[in-house]
Amino acid sequence: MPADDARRKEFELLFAANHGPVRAYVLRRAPVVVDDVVAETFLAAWRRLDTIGEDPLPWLLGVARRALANQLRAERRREALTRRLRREPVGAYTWEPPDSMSPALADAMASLSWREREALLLVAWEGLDPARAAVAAGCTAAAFRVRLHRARRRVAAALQHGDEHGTSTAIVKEIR
Amino acid sequence: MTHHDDPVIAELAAANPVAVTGRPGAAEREAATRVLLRVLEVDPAPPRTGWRSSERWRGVGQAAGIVASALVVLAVVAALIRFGGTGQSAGQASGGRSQATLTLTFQALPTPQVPRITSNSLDRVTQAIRARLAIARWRGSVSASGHDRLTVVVSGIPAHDRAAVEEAIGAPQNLAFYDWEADVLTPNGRTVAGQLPNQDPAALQLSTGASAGQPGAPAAGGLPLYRAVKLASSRPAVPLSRYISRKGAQYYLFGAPGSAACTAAKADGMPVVPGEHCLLAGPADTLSALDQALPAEVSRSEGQLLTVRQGTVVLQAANPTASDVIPFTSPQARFFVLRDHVALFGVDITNPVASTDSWGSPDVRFGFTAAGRRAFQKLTATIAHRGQDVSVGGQKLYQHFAVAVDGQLVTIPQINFEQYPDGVIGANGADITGALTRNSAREIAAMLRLGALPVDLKLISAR
Repeated sequence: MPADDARRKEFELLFAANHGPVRAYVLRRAPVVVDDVVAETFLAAWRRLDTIGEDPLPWLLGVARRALANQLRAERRREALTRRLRREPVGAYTWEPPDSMSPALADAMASLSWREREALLLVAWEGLDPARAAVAAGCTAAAFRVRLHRARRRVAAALQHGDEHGTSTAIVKEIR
Repeated sequence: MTHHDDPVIAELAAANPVAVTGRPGAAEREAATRVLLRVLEVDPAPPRTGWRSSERWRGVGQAAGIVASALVVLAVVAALIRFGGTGQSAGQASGGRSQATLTLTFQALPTPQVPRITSNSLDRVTQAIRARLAIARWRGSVSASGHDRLTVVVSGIPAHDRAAVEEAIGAPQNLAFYDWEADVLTPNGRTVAGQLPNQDPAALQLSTGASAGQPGAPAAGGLPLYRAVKLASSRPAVPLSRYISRKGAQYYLFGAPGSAACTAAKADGMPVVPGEHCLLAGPADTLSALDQALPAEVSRSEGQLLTVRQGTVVLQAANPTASDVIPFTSPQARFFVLRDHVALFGVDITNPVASTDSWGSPDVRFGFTAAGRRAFQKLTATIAHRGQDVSVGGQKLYQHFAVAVDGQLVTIPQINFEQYPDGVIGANGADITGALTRNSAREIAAMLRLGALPVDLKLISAR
């Protein structure tokens, strides 16, 4: 098989395995730009296919996050909201809670920094464990754990699930 | 850890607006085709980045090896710099100060839980004392001799600290796991578990923690000491068994509100709250020990003697935080009365450590001996089954076990009966998380380590 055909086959396999989760990631955050963001994400994957490791999803979600931020920034620019968005760090996207979220939870999530919010969502919605979520978030696993812990604590406090100690109730778990 | 372990993650997961199902629908397939064509149309043949994955990973591995080697070299150099490269130990390097050496000889005595001293139980004691030395940052060694003797050599101890060292090393440090709802009593003297089916308000407060949010906290139904001891003293004695943490009775002496005895106690430095009974002495294991602890010029006849018989314990509420420690005699201290029916002792716990769970939250991990694992599974299964039984009409009443060290509650973790319907097996150990800061996790792990002394130690000689 010619090298380009093999390369294309490899990409198609990657695409088939990951299109659903990447599309869901974007849909959960900004349904209006989903095709553009997913296309930009996989275009990056196509161009950098040789550098993607054996677990491509966290990498793809990291690309999608940045593409999403760029898309939304462009949209907002057109809506003359540039000034506000310029203050947001690169890689951030504007949070709009879904209808499925309770007002209390939406308020609690809105009170977080975008990094903290993304940490929670990568775990709760994308179902990534902290090590993989750290790749998607573009930080070290240790930094991600701190970010996640802080976010959980803040949301728990806002929801009155918890207090200064995190969740208010000690629980016991099996060590696997 | 699954999403359901954490209420925040679980609530967020439930609000997920786009669930990914196993098979894509027609719309998704169409969208995928659209995107794929778009990608390939934009850039049909991108340039190769020229580095195959396998080569890249091999490169990373080599880099990691170089870094690891560098770290080893750095560690060696740091050690040489710190200790001057002379090969002397850290303790010797601190030189210059007088370093008294204390040699303590203990005799190991059987307990109801360990009725016979064996080489195995001596090994456990040796490990526990080594842990105590490490926690206290004392340099020393522990060795067993004969069938029941232990020799502890501690160096670098100032003379005025000797008594504290003797006490700290040999103190029994009673660690006990209780079935919280089955053992804790409401003010009417009945167990919480027996009253939960009727939704008794006092039982619910003790089980859920009410506004305190955490059972076993001072504000979660705890009683002032006098009321707690009064309640405990109304209980009959229970025959000695392997489930009892304290052999024999415990004595307290209280002064009446406004009495001369309370005035004397106050003059002696005891906190006294106007209008309330004051503690004159206790808890003491014998009446003579109680008499010795009385304030100056107060006799036993001036107070109210209350006896907590074998089979009942009065436990101080858990400290609100690791840094917010409420002293036993503080007017703010609150207490709970429990049936003294211990499910696990310190002897059943192994290797407690403070750590963080997979979400980055502080936790305390520990393992079990074979007998401890069986006891823990039995305890948690009982608790999980009761949780299922008392949770009716959509109301979930998770049940708990309590960990107490030396008369004070340390933590009261709940068992999620949905996740562990038949208890926690504990083959690889168990993990307590939630409601912990890094400091409190360290504190609890240290207390669990200290509490792992399986037998009584009698000090035979100190020189």
